Amino acid sequence: MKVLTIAGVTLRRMVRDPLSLFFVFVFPLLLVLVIGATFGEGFQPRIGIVEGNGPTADALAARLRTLDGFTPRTVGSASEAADGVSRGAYEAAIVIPDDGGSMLAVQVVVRQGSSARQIRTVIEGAVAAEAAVLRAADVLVAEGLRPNLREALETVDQVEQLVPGFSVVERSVDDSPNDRPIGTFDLGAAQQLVLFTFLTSLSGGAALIQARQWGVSRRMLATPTSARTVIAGEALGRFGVAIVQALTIATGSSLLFGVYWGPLLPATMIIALFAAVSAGASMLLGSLVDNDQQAGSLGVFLGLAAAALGGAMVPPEIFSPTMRNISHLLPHAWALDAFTEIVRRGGGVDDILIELGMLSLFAVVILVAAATAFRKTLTTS
Amino acid sequence: MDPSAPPLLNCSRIRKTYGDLVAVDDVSFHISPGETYGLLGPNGAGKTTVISMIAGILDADSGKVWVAGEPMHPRATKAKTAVGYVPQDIALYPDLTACENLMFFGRLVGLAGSTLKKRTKEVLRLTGLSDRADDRTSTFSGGMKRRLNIGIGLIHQPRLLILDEPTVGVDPQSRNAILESVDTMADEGMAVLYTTHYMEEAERLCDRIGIIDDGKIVAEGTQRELIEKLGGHDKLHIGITGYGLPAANAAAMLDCVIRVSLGDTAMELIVRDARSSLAEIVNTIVETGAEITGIEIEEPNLEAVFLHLTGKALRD
Ligand SMILES: Nc1ncnc2c1ncn2[C@@H]1O[C@H](COP(=O)(O)OP(=O)(O)O)[C@@H](O)[C@H]1O
Ligand SMILES: [Mg+2]
Repeated sequence: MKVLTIAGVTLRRMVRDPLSLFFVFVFPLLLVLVIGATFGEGFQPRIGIVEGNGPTADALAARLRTLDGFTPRTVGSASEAADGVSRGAYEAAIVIPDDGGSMLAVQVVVRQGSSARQIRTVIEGAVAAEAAVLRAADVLVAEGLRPNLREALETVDQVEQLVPGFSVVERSVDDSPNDRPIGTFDLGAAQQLVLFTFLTSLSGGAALIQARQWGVSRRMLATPTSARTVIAGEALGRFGVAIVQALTIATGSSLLFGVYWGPLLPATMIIALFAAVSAGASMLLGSLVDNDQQAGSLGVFLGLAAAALGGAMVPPEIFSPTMRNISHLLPHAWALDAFTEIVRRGGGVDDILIELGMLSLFAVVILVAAATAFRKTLTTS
Repeated sequence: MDPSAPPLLNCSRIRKTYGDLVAVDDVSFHISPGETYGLLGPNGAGKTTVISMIAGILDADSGKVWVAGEPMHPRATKAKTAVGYVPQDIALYPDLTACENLMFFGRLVGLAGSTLKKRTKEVLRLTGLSDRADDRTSTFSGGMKRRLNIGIGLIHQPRLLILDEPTVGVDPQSRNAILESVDTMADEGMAVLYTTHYMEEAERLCDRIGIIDDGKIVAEGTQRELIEKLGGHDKLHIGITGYGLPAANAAAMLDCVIRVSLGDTAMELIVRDARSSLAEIVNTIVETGAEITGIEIEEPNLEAVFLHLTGKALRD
C-alpha cells in the first residue's frame, strides 16, 4: 500500500508539471504525427518512375506497378525525376535504365532525411524482390529452358506459388515489406518509443534529487516506513513514468495514425521490460547526481546519446556491422530488434525470447545497481 | 504531567561520530508524558544529530533509545508510530497542495480512509491553513510552510512530538502561534522534545532543559535549578553622579554584595538576591552623598548559565 502511495506521488507530480506534460504527452505524439503523416495507414507515397526500354526493363516496371500500395506515375527522364523529387512532387522516384549490360542498375532517388531513407528502404526492397524474380527468369532463358522472358517469368511465378518455401526470391526480399502492405508498420514509431521512454525516464530522475533536497525522503524514513518500501515505491514511480510515456506513444500512434505494433502480448512484454530498464536508469541517475538541474540536462543528453548509439535515431540499415554490434550494448537495440521481429515478420513471444531475455538482464542489473545507490543516498543524507 | 509515569522517551548514552568529529557524546535524558523538554545549544552543538537518532533516521554508534517502551533504530517501525518528527529544514513537496502533503505523510504513518480525511481537516484548521488547503505549498509564505511542516508531524496525534528549531526564520506572529500550540499539545499529554538556540523559547516553553554544547549535555534541570547553579547571583547596574569611590567602598562592605566595579557614571554590583537586598544597598550609597540616577536589576537567565558553563555566548 505504502509502495503505491509513494509511487502515486511521483505520477501526480509529473502531471502537475506543464513542461513534463508537454514532453511526455504532446511532443512525442507530434513527432509520431510527422511520421504518421508519412507512413500511416492509407498513405500512398507519391512515386515517380522512369521506365527504360527493353524487355527486362519493361517487365520490371510492369511488375512494380502491380504491387500493393505502389502506383507510380510515369516520368519522362532521370533528370525530370530528380527535379520532381527535389521539388517535393514525389517522395521518391525509381529510374529503370534501358536494357543493355548484364544487369539493370536501377536508381532510387530520394531527398535527404530519415523519413526519406525509410521510403528508400521500402522501395529498394520491392525493387530487389522483383529484380530477383527477373534474374531467375533471365537464367531460365539463358539456359534455353524457356524460349522467352515472358514465359520464363510465368514459370518463376508458378514455381514461387507451388513451392512457397523454396526460392531465391524469398531470401532476397528478407527486409522487404511484402508480408504487409507498405505503410502499416513503421519502425520509426518504435524508435520514437524507445528513445522517448528512456529519455523521459532519465531526465525524470531529477525528481528523486528534489525529494532528497526538499528533505521529504528523509522525512519518509521518520515515519513507520522501511527504507525498502521507500526504494520500492520510488522505483515503481519511475516505472510508472516510463510506462505512461511508452503507452502514450504506442496507443496514441496506433489510434491516431494506425501505426501497427505487432501482437498484443509480445508488444506489451517488450514495452514493460524496456520501461523497467528505463526506470532503473532513471533511479540510478537520480541517485548518482546531486543537482536536479544537472540531472535534467544530463538525462536529455544521455537519453539522446543512448538512442543514437542504440540505433533509435537512424534507419538500422545505415549501421555497419561493427556499429550494429556496439548498438547491442544498449537495451534500445534489443527492444528494436524485438519490435522488428513481431511487427515485420509477425513473430510471437517465442521468436523474441533472446531479446526479452536480454532486456530482462538489463532491467535486473540496472535496477539492482539503482536500488543500491538510492539506498546509500537515503542513509547518508 | 505525571512524574510517576514511565518516561515516554528514554535515551541512554547515545553517541555519534563523523570521522574524527564527535557530534554527539554520551547523551542521556528522558521525557515523561505531558512534559516539554528543551535541548538548548548553539549551532553545531549536536541537537539535530541527537534528534535524528531519536527519530530513527540515523543509527547511533552506541547507546540506546526507547520510545514508548519500544527500542528505536532505523528499522523500528513500531517505535516510529509513536513519534511525530518535525525536521529543522522544511520538508514538503512544493508542487503538491497542503492537503496532499498532509494526506501523503498521513498514509505513511498508517492513517487511511475517513480517519485520514478527518485528521487532515483538523490539522489544517490547527495550523490556520484551511483556506489554503488546495494551494500548492510553493505559493506559501515562509511562516505558512513552517506551520504545515509542523502540522505534518501532528497528523497522527503522536505520543512524542519532536520539533527541531521550528521557529527559525519565522515572523514574530507565527512564532507566537507555534509556541502556543506546542503549549496546548503538552497540556493534552503529548511529550515534546524541542530544540532551539533561542534561550527565551526554552525559558517560556520547557519544563526541563538540557544544555548541550560540543555534543555533550553540560547541565540539565528546570530553569530554576539551572539558574541556581550560578549561586543565585544577580547583577545590579546603579547610575550615580558625584564622587563614586566612597559609595563603592561602602557598598563593598555589605554582606549581600559580592563584587563591585566602578565606572565613570555608574557602578556594577554582583549581589545575592538583588530584590531583598536592594533597599539596604540604596541606603548605603545615598548615605555617602552620591546621587542615584537609575537602577537596573539583571536576573540571571539561561544565557548567563550557558556563558558560565561553557565560557561562550549562546548566539554567535
Ligand atoms: N552528515 C554529517 N557529516 C559530517 N558532520 C556532520 C554531519 N551532520 C552533522 N555534522 C556535524 O556534527 C556537528 C553537530 O551538528 P548538528 O547536530 O547539526 O548541530 P545542531 O543541530 O546543534 O546545529 C556539527 O559540527 C556538524 O558539522
Ligand atoms: Mg540543527
